[in-house]
Amino acid sequence: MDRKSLLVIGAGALIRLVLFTAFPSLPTILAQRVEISTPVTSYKRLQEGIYLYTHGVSPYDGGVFHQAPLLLSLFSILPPSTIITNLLYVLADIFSAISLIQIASSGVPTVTPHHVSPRKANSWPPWAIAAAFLFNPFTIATCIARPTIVFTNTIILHSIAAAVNGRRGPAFVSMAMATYLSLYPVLLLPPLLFLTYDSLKATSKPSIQAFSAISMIILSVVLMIYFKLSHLITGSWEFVASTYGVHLLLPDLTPNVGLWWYFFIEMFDSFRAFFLCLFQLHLLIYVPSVCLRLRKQPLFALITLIGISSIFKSYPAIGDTGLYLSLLTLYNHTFSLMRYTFFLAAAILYATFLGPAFYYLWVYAGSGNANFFYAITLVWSISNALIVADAVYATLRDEHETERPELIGKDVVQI
Amino acid sequence: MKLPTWGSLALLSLLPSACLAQSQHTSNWAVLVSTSRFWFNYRHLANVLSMYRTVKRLGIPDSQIILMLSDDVACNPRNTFPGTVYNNADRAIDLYGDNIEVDYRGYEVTVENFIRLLTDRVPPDTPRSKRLLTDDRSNIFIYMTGHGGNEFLKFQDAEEISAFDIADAFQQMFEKKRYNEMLFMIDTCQANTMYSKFYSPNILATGSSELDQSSYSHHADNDVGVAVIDRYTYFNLEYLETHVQNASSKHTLADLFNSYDPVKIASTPGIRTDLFRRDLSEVLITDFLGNVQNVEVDGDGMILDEDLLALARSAGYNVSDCKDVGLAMKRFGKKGAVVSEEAEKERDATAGEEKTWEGPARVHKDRQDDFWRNVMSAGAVGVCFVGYWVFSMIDKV
Amino acid sequence: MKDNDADSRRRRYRELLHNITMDKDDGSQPEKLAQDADSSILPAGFVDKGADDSTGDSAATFKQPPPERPETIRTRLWVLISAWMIAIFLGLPLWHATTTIYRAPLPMQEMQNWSEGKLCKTEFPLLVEVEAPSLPDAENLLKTVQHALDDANDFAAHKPHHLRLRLAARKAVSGKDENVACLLRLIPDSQNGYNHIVQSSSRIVDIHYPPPSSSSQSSVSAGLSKFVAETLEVLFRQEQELIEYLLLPQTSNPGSLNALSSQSADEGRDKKAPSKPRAATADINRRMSRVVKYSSSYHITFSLFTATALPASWDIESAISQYLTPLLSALSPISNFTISTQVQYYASISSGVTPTYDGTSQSWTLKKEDLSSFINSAEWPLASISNDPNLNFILYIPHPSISPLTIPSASHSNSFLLPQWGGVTILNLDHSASHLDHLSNPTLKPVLETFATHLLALLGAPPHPASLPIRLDSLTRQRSAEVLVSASSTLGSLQRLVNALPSISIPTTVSDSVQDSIRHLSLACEELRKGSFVKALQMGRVAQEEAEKAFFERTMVAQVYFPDEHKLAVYLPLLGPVSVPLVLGVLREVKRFMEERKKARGQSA
Repeated sequence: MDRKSLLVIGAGALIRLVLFTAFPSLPTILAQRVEISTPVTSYKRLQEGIYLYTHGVSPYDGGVFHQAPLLLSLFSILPPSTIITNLLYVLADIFSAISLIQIASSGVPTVTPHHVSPRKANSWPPWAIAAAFLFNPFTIATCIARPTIVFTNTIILHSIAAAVNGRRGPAFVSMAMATYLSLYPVLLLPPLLFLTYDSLKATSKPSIQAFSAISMIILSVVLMIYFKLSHLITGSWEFVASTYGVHLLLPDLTPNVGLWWYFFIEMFDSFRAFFLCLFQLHLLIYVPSVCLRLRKQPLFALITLIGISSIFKSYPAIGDTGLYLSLLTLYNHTFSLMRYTFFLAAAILYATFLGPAFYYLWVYAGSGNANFFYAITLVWSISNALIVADAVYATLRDEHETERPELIGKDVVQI
Repeated sequence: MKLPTWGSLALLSLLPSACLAQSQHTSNWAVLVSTSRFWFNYRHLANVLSMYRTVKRLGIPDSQIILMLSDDVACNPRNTFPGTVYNNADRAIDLYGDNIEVDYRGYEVTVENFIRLLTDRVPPDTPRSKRLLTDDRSNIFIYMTGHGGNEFLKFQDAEEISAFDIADAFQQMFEKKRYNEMLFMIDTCQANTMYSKFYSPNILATGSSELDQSSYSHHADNDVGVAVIDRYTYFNLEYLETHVQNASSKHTLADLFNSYDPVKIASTPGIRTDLFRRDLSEVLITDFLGNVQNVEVDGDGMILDEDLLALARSAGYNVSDCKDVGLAMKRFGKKGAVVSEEAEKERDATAGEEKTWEGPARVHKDRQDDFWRNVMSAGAVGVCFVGYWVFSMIDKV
Repeated sequence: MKDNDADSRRRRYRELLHNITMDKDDGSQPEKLAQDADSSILPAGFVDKGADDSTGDSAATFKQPPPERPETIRTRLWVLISAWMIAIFLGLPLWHATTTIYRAPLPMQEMQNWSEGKLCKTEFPLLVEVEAPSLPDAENLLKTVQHALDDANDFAAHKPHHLRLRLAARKAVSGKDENVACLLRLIPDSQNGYNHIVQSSSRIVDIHYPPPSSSSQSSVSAGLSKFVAETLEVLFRQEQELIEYLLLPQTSNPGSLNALSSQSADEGRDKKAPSKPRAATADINRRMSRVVKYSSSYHITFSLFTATALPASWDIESAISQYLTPLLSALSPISNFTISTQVQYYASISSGVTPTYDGTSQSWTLKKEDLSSFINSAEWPLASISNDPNLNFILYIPHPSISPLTIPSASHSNSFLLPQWGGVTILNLDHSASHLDHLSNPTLKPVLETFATHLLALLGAPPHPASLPIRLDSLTRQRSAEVLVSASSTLGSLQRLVNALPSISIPTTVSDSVQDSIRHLSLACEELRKGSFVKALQMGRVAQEEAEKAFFERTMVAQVYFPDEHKLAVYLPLLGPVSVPLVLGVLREVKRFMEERKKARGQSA
């Protein structure tokens, strides 16, 4: 790692530590923000779970805690000190930054076995990508609020870093952990398979079928080990319904930045089950399409799926968007092909500032209603969806230009 | 030893049958529902509380009144007279008084809860005060008020109940013999459409306004700042207050319905009698709005045997004898009722399961437990890392 | 780039902007900019995302786009297929699974048959033992009596409630055998002539008859048999009428619109039993109207309401255990009881009730109309927290200023009964006496006796005959009939409900309960036929409970009325936009395929 990277990482850690120490009440305030903490990631709920767990009560009694049991193990062996917990979160972010640097250094964003970007000279140096992650206000806020999504993000990034280096074991073990922690990363498996396969050294390449089968076996074995461990430490299988059941069935309708809560508050009870299935299927339907279309750039397929699930999953938070935006900077060489950059940046800023204001008007001032906040989450989701679409457009255009170099610099239209 | 003679039976047989026809119900129940919410719907709350006051005045005990209301008006910050609800600008009677028992409050006032109440399909832990424990000898008075439209009534701006839903619920009540007769009264816009779908017998229905007619408020209190009562309810109450003084009043429903004046009410009240069997001029108002307890004074047709207790104690039917019977029955019960046995087994099984999770109720720390738990947690985290390492090694091989 | 099938391509692609060069790459590749824009062709990489083109729009400025490469087409096809696969193989089954209403199969016909009383001919065969040690031709006598009973048509075998006579086998007087309804002891008695005495604490009825003179053996026998038959009629007639009354709704059709209206049911009854005097039915009706609905357990509340602070306490516990417990144990085969007691001081009667002073009897009297509003339900804490039906017994001590307070009645108990609710006794204490602060056990004895009478009346025990075991047996039979009818009619109601409301879902627990109920119903029916009524009640109780459980299954709340156009409004806003690209994608692929075929045919032709 070069000096610039170290400097950036040091600065990122410093910012976080300063925020933790200079504003001791900031973590608590941020942890209560619905935009940052969701029922399945909230630090406050985690504390509740740990309390129940260390006092001999099933952590899932009371229906507050919905997170994976291994997090309980991790936190129950840590000394009960805020500083150490904070340090753990800062470390997680640093680790994420290192993973990003590894991904960027590998060159996979610009050069894959099937595709070499004509703009590869334009890509940012690794330290800049780490900086975009570490200084992203969404990431910083998420780190300070300490939801457990931070760990999921770190592990996903590590998995990608391992995959681009052709290290299958760490990649799939990590992805199993991410799936175990928050379920939706399971959608990233197909692109991860392609990504790892493409990154294997050309000399010892097995067939893609054999490769997938073995990888899947590794993943399932590891997942089973995690489940058995969870069963051992909590003493029952209750955690399955209380964690994954919550992701899938949305029993907790606390507002968040996603599209689900308002919809299922309003939905007629008899259609609830159907629309739950529909919403989950909607997420699933993108997986094969994106993988097929972006087969030449599996890393970008993976990033796109992260972006899509950060919009359409049941309990999204700005931490998910932060992860997507950070990963997207890996493809900064295609940014010049995006068409709505100004509009999207403005919309994101608009939603970021108006969201808390409308939430305040609704919940505290009482002068607004749920529609205020919901409207803003709609704006947020639409702008995120447009970013995903625009980024896909830019990358496809980039891909297309390798096929038809004569088109570089021409304008294109959809017909 | 007193044996009843045929003479006493003959005396009984002389009781006039007309009196029997009147006293077919033995209990009165009232379901009073205000389906709206928010301060500006003050009048709906006042409507329903006025009715509550009236039926209570006429003797229906609180245990037989199901009061459903949002209850957000009396203590509303906009209320100039906190803790009170008035139904008249003269503010003579505080309806919110000191003896109000609201059974379904606030967000509990939902279509589902209302239907569940009527059909008694309630969760098993529902207290008796929240259930309509009627039978085929109960007369039920149902009063609803709120904002409605053609064949629907809104519940708290969130959902609506349709005329079909209520009609089906009543049919289920009829099927299960949950009422003897029912009086359905509704004060809302286009109220008469709400009872148009009923098809179960012995229901008398009345509403404030026809299709495409609005139901208006009577007057506003300038200090309270909102309308305090609806017209239809106002004139009903006026009649009840002035004519029906107590539960022994002989005024009939025909009298009440004749007192309706469409001009004063500003809408055309409707009455539906085709499902009802009795002639309205024979139906007392207190058959529905009051509580008629048919008292039987001892000695007046009831045979009182003073030495009954001595009898029970005496040798012929002593306690030990009964114990035998009880035991025999228990044994029999085990043999016969397979289901209960299974249930017992299940209970045993769950009890066994509960044992595996040690002490859910214990909320104190135990050092030894703590130690093992920490060892286990550390082990689990360790296994994760070791697993990671092992799989990365495998990869390299 | 030249293209051979220019025409067909032109229909699909359109150049909107040409000759426009945009440098979005920040001049990083300036040499590319120099390319001649006119000779460039627009890319075809994004065709699968665009809207349909307008056909026939062929301007001179349009250039020919290049042909799509086969792998592009293949990818696009695969993307489309994958999306449709998920929609069809996951979406459709899930849609079906989540929107169809689960209806567990129910034995509908059987349920209907039960409710119509077709499956069980409810029988109450009562076994009467006759003990006639001093009568030589007892067998003959029995036959004559049986004939007399059968001829009277009241206890005939085809009636549900009938009597069978049997000569007592044993000498020993038991009177405790559960299956024997009563034991007749024929005792010759020269002094009193024909006479019957019911023993109050056993099932034995002594029949005294004048001892036969040796001359007219047969006439004595005739007279005796007539008297025995009459006695049996006195003993059981009321019960028989009651049972018939209870069983009637089962045979009529409760589903028809008018059946449940009590008036028409009365008419029905009259039609069915024209021989019965209406008064008998009316009496039964009146008696049944005060009986609480059957339950396997009741909660009894004894309340002491005193208008002053005195008496401050009462010996209720010892009094209950001494006077009431034996009765409750005797009732235990029928129902169980839980008891609570309370004392309320300064309890005033309802404000509307005003006693009047009667100078002649030197007492305050309450009018009968006042009694119905005597209970001050607004202030007296009478609501029960128990889930069992509650029976209230109230002992009221009036204020000294209106004491003695009396109720005009024939008896001196100063008490009244509130049908299906409980009983009230007004106790006037001698206010000059000492020991006012405590109600002792002996003082409570008459009160509890009154309450016991009330309790029996509320539970439905017949007031007649005097023998308590016979009365309780009769109550057992009556309750058996009641639970059987109730369970069967509940099954019928459930069956009609399930037919009438197709939108209601039926979970498996309901069908399980229904099966169980039906099984226990037939068991109860068998037990009845055998004459073991306690077991029959036991079975009937389970049947009733299961039937109620099935009917009141809490998930069986009908869905809110949902017309089809509402369903469309629910589905369309979300499914519409999602399905548009899928459908359009398929249409475009089909169109492309057709054109290719046409082209291929054109080339081959």
